[in-house]
Amino acid sequence: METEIRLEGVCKYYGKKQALKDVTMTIPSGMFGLLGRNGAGKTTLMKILATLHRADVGKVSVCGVDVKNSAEIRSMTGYLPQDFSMYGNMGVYEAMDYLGTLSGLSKGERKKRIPELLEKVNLSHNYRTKVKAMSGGMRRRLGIAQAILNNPKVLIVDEPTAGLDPEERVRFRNLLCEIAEERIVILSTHIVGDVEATCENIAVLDEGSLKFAGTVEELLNMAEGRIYTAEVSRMELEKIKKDYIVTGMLTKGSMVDVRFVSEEKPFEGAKNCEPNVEDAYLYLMNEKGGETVCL
Amino acid sequence: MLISLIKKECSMWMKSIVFYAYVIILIVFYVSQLEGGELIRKPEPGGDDYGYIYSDDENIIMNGTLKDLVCDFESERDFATYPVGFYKSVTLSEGEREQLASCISRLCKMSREEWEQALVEYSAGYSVEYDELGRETVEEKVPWPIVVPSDMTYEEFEAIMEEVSDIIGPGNNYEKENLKEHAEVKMTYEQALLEYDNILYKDKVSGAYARLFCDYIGIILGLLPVFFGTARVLKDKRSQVKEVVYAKKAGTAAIVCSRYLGIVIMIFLPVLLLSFLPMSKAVFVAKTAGVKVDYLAFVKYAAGWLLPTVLFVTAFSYAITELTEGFLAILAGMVVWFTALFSSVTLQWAGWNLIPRFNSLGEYNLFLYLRPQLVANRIFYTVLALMLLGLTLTVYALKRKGVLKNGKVSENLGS
Repeated sequence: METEIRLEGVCKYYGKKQALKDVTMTIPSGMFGLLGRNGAGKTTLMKILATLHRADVGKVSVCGVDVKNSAEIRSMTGYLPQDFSMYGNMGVYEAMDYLGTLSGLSKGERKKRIPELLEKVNLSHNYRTKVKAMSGGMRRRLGIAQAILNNPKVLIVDEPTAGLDPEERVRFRNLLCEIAEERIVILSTHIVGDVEATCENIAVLDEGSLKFAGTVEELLNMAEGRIYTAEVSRMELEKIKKDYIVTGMLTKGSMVDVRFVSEEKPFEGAKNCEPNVEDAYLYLMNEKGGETVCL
Repeated sequence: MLISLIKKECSMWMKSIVFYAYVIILIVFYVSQLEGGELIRKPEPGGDDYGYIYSDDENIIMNGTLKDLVCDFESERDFATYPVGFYKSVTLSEGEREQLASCISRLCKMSREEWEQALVEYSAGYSVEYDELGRETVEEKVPWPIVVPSDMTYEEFEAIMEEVSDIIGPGNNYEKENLKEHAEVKMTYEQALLEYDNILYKDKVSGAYARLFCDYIGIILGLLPVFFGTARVLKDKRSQVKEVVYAKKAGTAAIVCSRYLGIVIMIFLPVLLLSFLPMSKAVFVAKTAGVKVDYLAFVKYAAGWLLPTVLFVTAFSYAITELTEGFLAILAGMVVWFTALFSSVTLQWAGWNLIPRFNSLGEYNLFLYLRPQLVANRIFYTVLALMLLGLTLTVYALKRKGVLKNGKVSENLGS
């Protein structure tokens, strides 16, 4: 039994606009990050995998099953959409019970599984809490619980941490990592930190094209030796901003610690440093231009 | 899965304001229109009004039809027709009016001048007076003068009426099957007694009350389910749960049918419960008369008469709202309802109208006469409802695959 997702030459059009351009990649088991700017085609790709959209061109298979076989795909996938919500006047347990029925679980299975999952997402004390009374973080946790109701082989999670406070975000990322054992979890986000903290494999989309596919380490290797830091004055900072891609800065009185990308040592005083995923991502998106890097 | 989903749909409606508003309207409508209505009583000899009945006497049919035709011809240029069950006014050209006048002349064997002159004389001696209770008293100094001669056979009459019908157009009141409706006569005591016996022994009392119940309740069931279909689809949109549901394992048929049947159950159940009120009245009348009541009459009439209305109106609003994801179905439903309500030919009529009428307590024989058209009507709307449900299934399946979005081929969706 295959435990990977394969995309071959996938194209998707919305009228004249091409949302995905000849995307070919393999998504292995474990946490997989899908990075890209807003409008890069991440949600479209996720929806194709969740059978909510159809690819106009190309082949997509999930664990060996063609996505055209939507009934089978739906029984092996869990999906958490970008703006997850439920009927406002439903309680947490009731919402899970309804979605569990839609997932094909019997009454006995629902009775056993729902408390387990609510415990897992830390909502075991909120059985009767109405969805409309839940915070954004609680709703996302309910969303993840409903997505794994059917114990799916593949979990598709679209922008799950957007709008969450830092504490909720960390908790949510940890939860995803726990769930990712023995299944494929695809995490779509434009927040690089989420991917850095959770994913071993990633893909980067840019305007519908696949810009990078490989491991986090391979992405970091691309930026190796090209990230510099320097302490500069505010006047000098403006020049650096014009000449280089600035990936970070920290103001210290009249001076600024700046972190930027450069192919070679830019000036005296600049120190080469270890790249992080954000540096590598920005390097990829800006320096690599239209080049596709699939490792 | 389907049964489980239907139960969940019903429980969702139990928390919905739409459902409670419906129940309140239903009860208020029943109380205002039907509660405290007449009880069926045995006719007493020597009474002056036992109601009306359609006569089978050919002479009465011929003369009644001719009288109505002359009155229609003289009183207005427009003729009411119901070509597909809905009202259509037909204005005849001068040539067609000439042809119609010629038919009248052949029916009464008088020239146009003669019968028009006779009509003028009759009208001069005709008066209507109303007493303080609004009851009318008609005084005719001259008897109605335009009659079918005794030597005319019924076949000859039918042949001329066929010409009349062709001139006016389809769905008119002078078609062969409608001729009897021009022969309304006052019931005699014996006929009234027979009618009473029919109610007791053929209708088993409850049948008569069930028909009146269906007549009234059918009016509001022609509209109110529209709000349920629309509310259910828009609930998914407003709560942003569409994609979550789309991505689940449940088949499109299970999702759509459970929602549809959930609505139908939640609309129909209060109707059945409400029917206990007129049923109790029927039981009282039956016990007083010492006859056995048919306890299932209301269920049978409601299922055969009202359920097709519920099925159709729900499917209509569900299909339109699934396609448009807006409030268009409510507007369209109101148009259909108004059209249906105000296009009934009489208060005892089905035709192809969404809201069949039978605004009488009793009149078992008249009901038997109208029953075939009522049955055809109800089958028609049930089939139409199933077709609309099929359309809804198709639309939902296409939306689920991302092919359709709000009825349009998807384009420029978010990335």
